[in-house]
Amino acid sequence: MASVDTLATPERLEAARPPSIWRKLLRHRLFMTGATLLLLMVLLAIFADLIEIRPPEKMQVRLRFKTPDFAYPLGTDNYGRDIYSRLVHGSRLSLAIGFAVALITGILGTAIGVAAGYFKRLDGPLMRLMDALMAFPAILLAIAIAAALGPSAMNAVIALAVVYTPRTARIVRSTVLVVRETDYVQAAKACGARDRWIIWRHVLPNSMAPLIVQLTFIFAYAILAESILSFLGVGPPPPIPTWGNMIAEGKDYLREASYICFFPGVAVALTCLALNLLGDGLRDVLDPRLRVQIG
Amino acid sequence: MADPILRIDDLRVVFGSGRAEQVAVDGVSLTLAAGEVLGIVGESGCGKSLTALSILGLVPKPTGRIQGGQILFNGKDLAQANEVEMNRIRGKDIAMIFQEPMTALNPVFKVGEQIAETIRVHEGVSREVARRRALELLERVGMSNPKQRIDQYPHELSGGMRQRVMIAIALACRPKILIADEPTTALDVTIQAQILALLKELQQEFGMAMMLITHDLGVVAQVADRVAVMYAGRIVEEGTTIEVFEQPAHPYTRSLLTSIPSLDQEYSRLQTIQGMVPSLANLPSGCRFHPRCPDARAQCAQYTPRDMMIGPSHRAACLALNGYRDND
Repeated sequence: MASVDTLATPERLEAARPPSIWRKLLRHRLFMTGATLLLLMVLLAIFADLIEIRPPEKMQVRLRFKTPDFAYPLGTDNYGRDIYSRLVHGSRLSLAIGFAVALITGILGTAIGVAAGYFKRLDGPLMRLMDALMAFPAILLAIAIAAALGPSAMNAVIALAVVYTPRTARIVRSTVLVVRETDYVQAAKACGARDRWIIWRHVLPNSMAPLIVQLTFIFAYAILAESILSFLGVGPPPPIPTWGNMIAEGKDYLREASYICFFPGVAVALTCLALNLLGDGLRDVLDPRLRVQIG
Repeated sequence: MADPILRIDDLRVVFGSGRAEQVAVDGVSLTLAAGEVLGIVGESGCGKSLTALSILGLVPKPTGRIQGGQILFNGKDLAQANEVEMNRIRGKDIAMIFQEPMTALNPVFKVGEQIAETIRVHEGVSREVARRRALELLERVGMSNPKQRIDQYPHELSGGMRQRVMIAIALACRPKILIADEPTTALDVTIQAQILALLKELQQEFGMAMMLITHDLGVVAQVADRVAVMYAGRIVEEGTTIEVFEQPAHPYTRSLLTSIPSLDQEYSRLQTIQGMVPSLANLPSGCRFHPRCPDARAQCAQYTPRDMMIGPSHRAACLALNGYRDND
């Protein structure tokens, strides 16, 4: 008889719950690798002032092109500036630009995607506009906008946001199209819920998963694209270091002092890798169906 | 019969336009009296769900639209009402339960929040009040352990429990009319009986009128006071449940009734209705049932049968009742 009593206790109900998203993410090894790496980069950016060895703009003409050694762990560049300190400081602007682009793209893309997906009348005009923007190769359009606005961090963000918003809007629209036809949206309508309420309570929360995954990739693209823009001279101008303009300045000395380009290049690559691992992990956990298809 | 609280007159719902126009509901007239249970029976695609969706103004736009007819509720024509007026009626005066309890709940919110949401949309009460009412409703619909269930997500509940949640949501604002669209189709047979009994019980307790849409005559026999049988967008027979089951006047109704497996007739083959439901794009002329009708005559392809009263509250549309023309 005692065993019958234990059947429906709260503890048992609790145990029957599937693992939460957080627990699944914690168990995902690649996600955790990416998260740790990204956290490291963020810490680097936050505590740049504390872990720098010398001011990143300090030029020492006598110490140009110093190969890495104990005093200058990553060497010095063509002005004798400490590459390590510049790298640490460069992470600030590079990460900030990446984050800002992901954030702005996320907000604009969601707004446009929801409007186009939910209200059929807006679908045509909005998405044709997005298609028009997508017709240009991404980097080319970013270069054109950044060049037209002039080189600055803010303009790089604007240019990249314009480029990546259509892609985000597309993804959001496609999930909204699915969610708006679901039974629970129909049921909410039958209960007298208004469009605003349905969008806020039903459509948005159920369309977020693919968006979050996409935004981690856009974060990575944006960091990469920032270095491309800087490399071409339309990114944030020197002397404020970003990984991109460090590579750009180092390219002239690639043969003699390849480490000038190498270390910021590694930083960009590692950050993109971290974000991609993060995105893959999120996708695996948030949208398990996709995982089956891929492998 | 008591005064109807809902009266549908000559409702026409079409899909597409121009040459591609398809009539999905063709001149349906129905009344629903306060406190009665009306069963609407028919095969898939006969327009029964669409009739229900029309009442709530939820015909899928822009492909579908109400082309004609009236839906009178409280003296207001719902077929002409705008979105704002409809939103005030939906959920508050007329509520609906859907077929699929698995998908009709939002997966990202706890069930308690979803019940409370409906109450808050219509009555603007505080979160705490809405939550307390949600708990009462969960108890009322026979949810075991309501205090824990209220904080669970839909995926943690079984189909029967989810349907109970759906019923709780529908009843949240004490509607005058409850439309149940195949409420038990997706459930196990044992759960079906429980949910039906619950619906009937709540309907009587709340004094609601209920429109029960189903393809299962057994369900209708259990709970409905009156039955309307639909075929290819039209009502072919309507009457009290007893009248329709004991003296089916339309050949389609008779065929449906003989297709129910019976426990008495051992070893006999199960009767089926020959042929297929006609597609909306290619409806037969005259009586739409004539290609499948065992009693069809040549005239049935030419003339559309009119409704015939064959009892005080019993009508059917069949040429055999209208009387065939002489020279056939």
